[in-house]
Amino acid sequence: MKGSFLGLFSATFLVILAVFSRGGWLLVGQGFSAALSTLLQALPLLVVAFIVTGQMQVLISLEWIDRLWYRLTGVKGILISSIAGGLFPGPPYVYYPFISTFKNRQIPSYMFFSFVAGKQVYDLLRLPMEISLINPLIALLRNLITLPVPLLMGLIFKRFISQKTTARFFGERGI
Amino acid sequence: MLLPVILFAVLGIFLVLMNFQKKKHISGFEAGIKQFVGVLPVLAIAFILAGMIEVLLPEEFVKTWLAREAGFRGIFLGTMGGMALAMGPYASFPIIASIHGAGAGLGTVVALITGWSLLGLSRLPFEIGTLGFKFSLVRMGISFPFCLVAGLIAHILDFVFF
Repeated sequence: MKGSFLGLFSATFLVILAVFSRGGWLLVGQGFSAALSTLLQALPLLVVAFIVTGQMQVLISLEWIDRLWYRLTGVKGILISSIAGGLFPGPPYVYYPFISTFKNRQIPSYMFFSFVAGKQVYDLLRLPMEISLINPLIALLRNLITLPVPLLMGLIFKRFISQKTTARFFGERGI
Repeated sequence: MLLPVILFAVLGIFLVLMNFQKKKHISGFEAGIKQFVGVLPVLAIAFILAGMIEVLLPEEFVKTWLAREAGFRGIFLGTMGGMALAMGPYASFPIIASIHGAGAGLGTVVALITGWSLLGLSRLPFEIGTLGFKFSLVRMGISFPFCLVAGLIAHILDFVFF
């Protein structure tokens, strides 16, 4: 987090310099004004979004996802895994180490793959941010358009890549 | 923006009530506040960067490369741009919003978000580190065409409805 903040801070500083060289303090002022305007517009939704995010985090338990994986297979398994991925809370440095603990188990690898794809496409906790920080209509359209993507990705993986269990899939590749 | 606020407020109340039954609602508030405070500096900087990009992007560049008229070129650039936005949602989304505000087409913006979520380089070190290079390569390979298709569908919708 600290590293990415420093990177973002440096990028912002360089962009401000570029804005200054192009239009002086006037353009820099316009940039700050645009930033403030967007922030004020998004602020009420941001506050509510963080309340939703916090409550979701304590509602979805890891045990629930663990139980889910052993109950299903096939297309239904891909679908439920995708949704479960979208519901799984936490940033990449939390969920990747968590799901990597399933690598050596007897779970179909395509379901594991769908879970990762579902997290990336659906991510329920990211949705309030997408709506508040980008635009509600764009967020709605993006989510509708990409709705079948994790399912299709899971099916492609099952058909063309592997139908083996995670233990065999990861084991055979020496990962 | 009022409708999403109301919808999320209703959802928030519903979730608080659900957690209240399990006596977890306070932990939920704490988790939300902790996360908000944690990302506040990133959010502040990201909003400034987004504002600067909005005034910096030359109109001609947006029209030629990112606007609706740019067609597939904009979608491809959007996908690659989303991949290159190696930052979390709090930093990336204001930047994507500013690119949209500068005049980028719907297809480009949807490709940007989809490219960021499916191909984003910020997650790659965690994925490669825990699941291995080949898994990441397979996932990226399968994901890439979907980003282009998502952008293309949005581009068509943009032409038909907007």
